[in-house]
Amino acid sequence: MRGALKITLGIMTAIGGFVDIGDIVTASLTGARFGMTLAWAVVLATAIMVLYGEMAGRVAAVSKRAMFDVVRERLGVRFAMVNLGANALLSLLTLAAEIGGVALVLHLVTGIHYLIWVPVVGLGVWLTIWRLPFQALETVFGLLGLCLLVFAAALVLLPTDWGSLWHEAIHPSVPAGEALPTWLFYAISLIGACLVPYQVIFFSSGGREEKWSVKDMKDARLNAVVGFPLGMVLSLSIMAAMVPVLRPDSVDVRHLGQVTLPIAQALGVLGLILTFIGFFACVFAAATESALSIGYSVAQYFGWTWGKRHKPSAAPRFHVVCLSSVIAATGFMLTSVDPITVTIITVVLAAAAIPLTYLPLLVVANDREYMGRYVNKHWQNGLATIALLVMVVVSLATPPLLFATKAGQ
Amino acid sequence: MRAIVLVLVALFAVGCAGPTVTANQYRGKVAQTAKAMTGIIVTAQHAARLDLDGKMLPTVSDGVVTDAEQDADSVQTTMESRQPPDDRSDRLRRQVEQPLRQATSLLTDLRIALRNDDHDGERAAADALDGPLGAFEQLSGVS
Repeated sequence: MRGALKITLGIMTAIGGFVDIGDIVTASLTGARFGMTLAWAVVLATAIMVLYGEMAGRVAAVSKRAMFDVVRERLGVRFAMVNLGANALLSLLTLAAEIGGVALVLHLVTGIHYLIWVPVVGLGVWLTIWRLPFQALETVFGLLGLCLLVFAAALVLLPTDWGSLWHEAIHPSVPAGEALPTWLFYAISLIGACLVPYQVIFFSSGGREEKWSVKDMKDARLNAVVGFPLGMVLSLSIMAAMVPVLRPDSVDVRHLGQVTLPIAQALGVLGLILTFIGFFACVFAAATESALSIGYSVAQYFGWTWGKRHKPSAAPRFHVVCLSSVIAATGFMLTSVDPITVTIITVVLAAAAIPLTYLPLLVVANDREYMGRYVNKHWQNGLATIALLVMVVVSLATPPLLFATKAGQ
Repeated sequence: MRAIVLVLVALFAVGCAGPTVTANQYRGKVAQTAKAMTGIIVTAQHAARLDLDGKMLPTVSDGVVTDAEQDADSVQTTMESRQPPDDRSDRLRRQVEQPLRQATSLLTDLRIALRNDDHDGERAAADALDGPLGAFEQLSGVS
């Protein structure tokens, strides 16, 4: 049990960072439209996330400093400022999408219009950041998010053609009637949804919140190796559950309610309740993580006291940044902009900005001054360089694909 | 100044009517519309039937059907705003507009029946949606 609790940071990061509103929407949309032919994108993004997540945990444990602190010192104030600006903006957009996502979940459960829920959710996110201890945050949301395993259970009960699912997953090809650019656009969206930059910031800062040191490296590694693949399993389960129910008619998934249909068919009302608990935990955790990540990155950049391990009165500027982000994101969602549209734009922008977050991490993980004998090994650098090349290709391909496909139409 | 206003009004009017397309492009748009409507109808029917089987939360079925109704309405508005480039395209427009109107109206009936907890009305509306669904399945192949 103690061992299981040790990996709750990894589970929460995976639950909130990996399986957030962006991932739920893109995984179900692609499952209903392309079957499992894009499963490779989730697997690839998970492999990259494990590789860089382990690096982020190691940097936090060995240098005993969080990412932005080290990045500013190692790569200079200007580079770090660009990095900070891009990450904070993207995290803010993500936060807005997540707040909208939680409001949509509450709308589906209560029938009350989602715009009424938006300020309530914003307040809830801020109160959680303000009052809930970090350990409780990890445990509650990490474990409740596991309710999404209901998608895997539903898959077993639905009339699933396992052979066809497996065949599509291991022999990816553009389905008949679909264009290659559209297929690639959604592959990029999936990668962007899995590799959202705030995950790395949250994971490394969370490591500092938990006071990781060299002694905890095994736990840090376990968090990355177990947490992110768990996120992948959840994400692939959501994608696969859409196939037997929505794919035969190529249903265009544009609303959260549509995602629940396979669960209702397989497991009825009980399944739906578990789904909503899981959705709420994942998306609310993601909202909290993205708000905290903005606070973490800004405070670390400026060298302020930060973190939930300090009383709010001891880290006032950190809490003011978190609160301002929540207010800004809530205000943005109250303009009645469609949460699902914001989500899709966010994952696409995240795909374009991936290298900005991951390159500095690779540089720091190779610096003996910070890492001593814990610098990256040759094989890690080899894999990380290939991964970085993939990220650069994804980043460069995003704008033309976005325009060529009219955002995946 | 008056000329600028006239040009802006003209541009706005053209914008409202949708961009002019070739006959081929128009056929493509019709096929796209039919495909979108197939997905919308199937989703609503599925939600209604699960609701009748007692497998849905009422708020979820309401949400799914209301979203379907709004989506159908939006598809209909977009289709009606497009200018058919020739007579053949105009005939195609009439072919797609009839099931579009029927589907939108039936989705409204379905939403009303759902909210009134009228199971017979719900079943009737869901079954009646098979009519426009068949028409859209045929029209999906026109391109």
